[in-house]
Amino acid sequence: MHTTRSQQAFQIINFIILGLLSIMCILPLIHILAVSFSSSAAATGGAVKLWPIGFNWSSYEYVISSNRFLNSLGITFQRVLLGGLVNMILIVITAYPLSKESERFRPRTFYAWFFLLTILFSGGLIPIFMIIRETGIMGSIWALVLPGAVPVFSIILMLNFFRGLPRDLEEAAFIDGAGHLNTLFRVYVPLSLPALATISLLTIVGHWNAWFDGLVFMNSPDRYPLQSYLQTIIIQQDFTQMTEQDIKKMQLISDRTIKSAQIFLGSLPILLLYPFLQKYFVTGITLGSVKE
Amino acid sequence: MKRSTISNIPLHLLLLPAVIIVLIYSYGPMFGIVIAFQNFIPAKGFLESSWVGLKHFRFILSLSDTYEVLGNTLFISVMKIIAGLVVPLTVSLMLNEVRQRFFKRSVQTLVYLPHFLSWVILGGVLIDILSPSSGIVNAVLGLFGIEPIYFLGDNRWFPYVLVFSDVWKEFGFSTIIYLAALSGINPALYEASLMDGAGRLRQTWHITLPGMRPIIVVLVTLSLGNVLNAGFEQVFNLYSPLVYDSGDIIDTYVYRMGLISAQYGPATAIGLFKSVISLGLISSTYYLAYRLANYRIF
Amino acid sequence: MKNRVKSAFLLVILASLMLSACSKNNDASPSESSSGTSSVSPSESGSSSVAPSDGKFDPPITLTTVGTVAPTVKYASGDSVDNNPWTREYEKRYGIKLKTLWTVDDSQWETKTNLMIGTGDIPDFFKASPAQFKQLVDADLLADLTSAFESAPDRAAKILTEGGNAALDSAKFNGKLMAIPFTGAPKEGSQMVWIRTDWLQKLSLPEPKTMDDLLKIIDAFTTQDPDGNSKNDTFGLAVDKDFTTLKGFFNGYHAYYDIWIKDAEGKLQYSNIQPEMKTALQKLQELFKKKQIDPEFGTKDFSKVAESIVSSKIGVMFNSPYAGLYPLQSNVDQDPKAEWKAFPIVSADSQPAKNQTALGVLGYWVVKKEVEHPEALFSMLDLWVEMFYENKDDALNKQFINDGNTEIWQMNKIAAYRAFKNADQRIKVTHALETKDTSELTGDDKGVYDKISAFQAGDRKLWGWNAIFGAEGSMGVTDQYRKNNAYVSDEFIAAPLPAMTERGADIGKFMNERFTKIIYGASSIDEFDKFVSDWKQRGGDAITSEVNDWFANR
Repeated sequence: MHTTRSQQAFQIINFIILGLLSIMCILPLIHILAVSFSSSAAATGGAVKLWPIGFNWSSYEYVISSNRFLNSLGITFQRVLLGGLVNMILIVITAYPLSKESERFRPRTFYAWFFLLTILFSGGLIPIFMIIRETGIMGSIWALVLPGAVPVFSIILMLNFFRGLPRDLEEAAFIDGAGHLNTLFRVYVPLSLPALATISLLTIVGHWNAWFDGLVFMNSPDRYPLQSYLQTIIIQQDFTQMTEQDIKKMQLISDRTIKSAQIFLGSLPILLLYPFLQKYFVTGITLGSVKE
Repeated sequence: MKRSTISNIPLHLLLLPAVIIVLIYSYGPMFGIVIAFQNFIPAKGFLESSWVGLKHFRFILSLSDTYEVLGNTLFISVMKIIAGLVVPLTVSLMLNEVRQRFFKRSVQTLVYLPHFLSWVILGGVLIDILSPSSGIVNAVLGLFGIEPIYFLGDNRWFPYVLVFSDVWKEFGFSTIIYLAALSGINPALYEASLMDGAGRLRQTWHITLPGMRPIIVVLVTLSLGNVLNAGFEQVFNLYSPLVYDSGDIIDTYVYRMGLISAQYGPATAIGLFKSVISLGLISSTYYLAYRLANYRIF
Repeated sequence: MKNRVKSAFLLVILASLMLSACSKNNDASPSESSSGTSSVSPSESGSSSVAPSDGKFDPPITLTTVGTVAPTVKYASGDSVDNNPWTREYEKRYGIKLKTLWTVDDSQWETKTNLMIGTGDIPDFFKASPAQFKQLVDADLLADLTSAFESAPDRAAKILTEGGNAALDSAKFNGKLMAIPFTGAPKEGSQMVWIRTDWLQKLSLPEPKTMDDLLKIIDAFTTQDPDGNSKNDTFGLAVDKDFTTLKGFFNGYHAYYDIWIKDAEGKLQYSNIQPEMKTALQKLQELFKKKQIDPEFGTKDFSKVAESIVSSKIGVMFNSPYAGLYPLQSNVDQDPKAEWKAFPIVSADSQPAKNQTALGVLGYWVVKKEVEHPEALFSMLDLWVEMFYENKDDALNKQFINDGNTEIWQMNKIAAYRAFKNADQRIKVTHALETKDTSELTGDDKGVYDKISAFQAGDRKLWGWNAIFGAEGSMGVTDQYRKNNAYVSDEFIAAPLPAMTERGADIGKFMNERFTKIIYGASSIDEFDKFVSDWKQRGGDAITSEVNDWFANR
């Protein structure tokens, strides 16, 4: 390919802008990393910016030796595996029928609105709490998985990806005698890897970052997933009415270095996952040649 | 007519699990909407709390700040929706032009990072970097001879700080979706247009953007459902009495209402009000897309 | 479209019918995870229980409860929330077994208990907030504790009235005691003024006796470069956006922040609209103009202000006597020269300043109506007072209070705090430090004694303990307040009333906004009068008359 002057210039400018953008995005994490390696006093005084002051490992030693952090990390892994699996299965099997044309599958519009309404209307926390209790899953990992098992947003993305696939492939499969199930898993799914990778990432990240349900639906703090646990240590104290006990607690948890270490360690696994899934994003281009 | 030989029953069966779960865990709790019409007292429950009709709705409309708060919410969220569309789309197109695979991947990973940090943490960081006396942003502006700006304490700036910081935190997320859509565009189309002598810019305009149109329409439509959610956690961690005029939104207002004592009725009424508006917006977009572009979004 | 909405609502109704059917099934066979209180109803297991003269139930009764878990508590191996030194002792001594249905982190207590009450599933006893308490009484779900209180052990009864009768009164409805107040220490926590004494010495300033003295100190700390870095980068007075650090300042002008006070006619009036508040705000406006307050205070909450204090940018802070531990200890860690000392609040005129105090009840221990032996709670409370406040035996201390690893005392199931525990503790500890005689110290006292001894031996990590409990410590100031009875109490001691709830958010918002703008000088001080009339008109008058109705009928 020939590259002209202007194209070269564009490449360079593009490079610079994207580079600056990345730096802007990474700064807060570097700040947190710097705080986690700093001495406690320097961190509490707000003196640490992008480089540690009084470098030490002690906050990491503390976190690694603390049961609650590791324990909650374990719960989060459980949740991500189970929740991610349930979500992905439901997304695929729900998006497939919804991706059909209305002429072929009349009730699809009804189903689509049936699902869509659930992201618009909610009865509030009290009734949800009641239902979770009445269905007997309060306090179990299922309380974090089932209520959000049908992610409508992702289903809509998926069904749009499915629609982008050439119609001929489906016709061919039917002529070969394949049913809906076979068509879905033999033809649609293998062709949708980029979409599946993207949506799994969104799903996993969603489960990883969710914290409120853990706080409310678990029956004891040792069952909190990681982000719920982190929330309990980074939550802002109500300073308008501090008692002696609150002050003592503040003294214990106000240690910003330990908080920062946990925040950093808490996002590390998911950051490592990203490049792994990214591999699949690229495959879409090579698959493109199948289409037509 | 080979199509009709394929039965639709498997399609219903495939939908069944999701339908059951949604019925129980999403439609089941919706009976809680009655709280909006009740003087709900938790200790009495849904059955014994007294009915008050539309009292909560009238109460909300009677509050002196309702219109200001509604205005703020709309302004902030519309700006966020626009910026949240333009920025990730641009970035994904720019990324698509990058040839160095390593650089491309690194950028993709890095721009996604702020998404993992909560607003409590980012709030603390933003207060530092936007500080008029010691913040880096004002230090840089100072180099150009600009007087320090009190970003978080000035009503003229505060809404833009919200929009900017929200985009900064979340654009990596949408960028990924757009990139996935880009990867689905048939390369043969590009090759053909290259033969016709089309430049990159024309290719982008005639092939890339039309190829991404469905996903853009879907994301925008769905984001309209959020038009009355201007971002509670973000505003809550950044605002202060100084910027109530421009920064107080429905959700923070409801939160403070709940802080004094759990006011379930008005809070649920506001929630219901928001849902109805969102439903209206999404329905009309759906209808427009169908009528004008003959495209069903979902 | 309409049809679809209709069918959606049909589905809702269908679903709720389905669910109510489900819930009936569940009642018949309560599963372990749904842990209905009905499964361990005390009336079943305790119906034949009698409490003999020694106060022990035989056979033992079981009470269900719910609780919080502090991050500092670690259970010994094999122990759990229902099997630990405290629960074993409850069972051994009183024949009371406990079953904790769930625990939650402190920060979520309010949410989770609201959900629990909202879904109609309360345990035998738990700690309710004032608003929850009122709701539960109104819904007639609580047991009357009047007679149980009359027969309660002395120690348990006494702790509830130690700080005055207000706490107990607030738990009474129509003369009946409907809860055990979890008494806190509001008077002990009254604000004082903490000052950087190393800066005072450096600038050779006297300790403050009057507000004028203090204002001079604030001025000097701003303009005379107390940290000696030749930069004009310090502020005199700490102020945060929620005004938590201003109560003591307001009190110096006989203004009180956000409480209800009695006027000359014996009516209750809201403190924030009194003329004294105007004077105090005017002063703050002046301080702001002279850059003695951080110009960014309007966006900083207390934790952000604490950062400035830790980095030695501020030299005067109104705060509780406990502030020595946080944030001042961090400042002392960070800056080897830093020294702080607490002084009593100072008055702007010849009248001595009085501290505002709230009711300070941390919650209400409520008992479900069906519980047969509500007196069990007083027995458990008695154990608490004995072990936490009176025990001097070291072995018991290790067993029940603190074994050096974890704060075992937090495993109790019911507690109440003494009104001046820390002030009394300082007197005992300083006496013991002088005489070197530790025989009169309880386990908790001994812990403080050891920390101060270590500080005196040079451990600056324990500076904060000395700043609070030492001879010159902040608790000495508290003691002085107590002797002079220098308090103005919040006269409104009930759960929020309807108009308060309804108008509170609206009024609170514009009050905060107006006050902040006045201090910033964005509004002139005369705006205060407009604020007062707006406050009245926007619902303040309605709230005032409601509060006075409550006061008259009490």
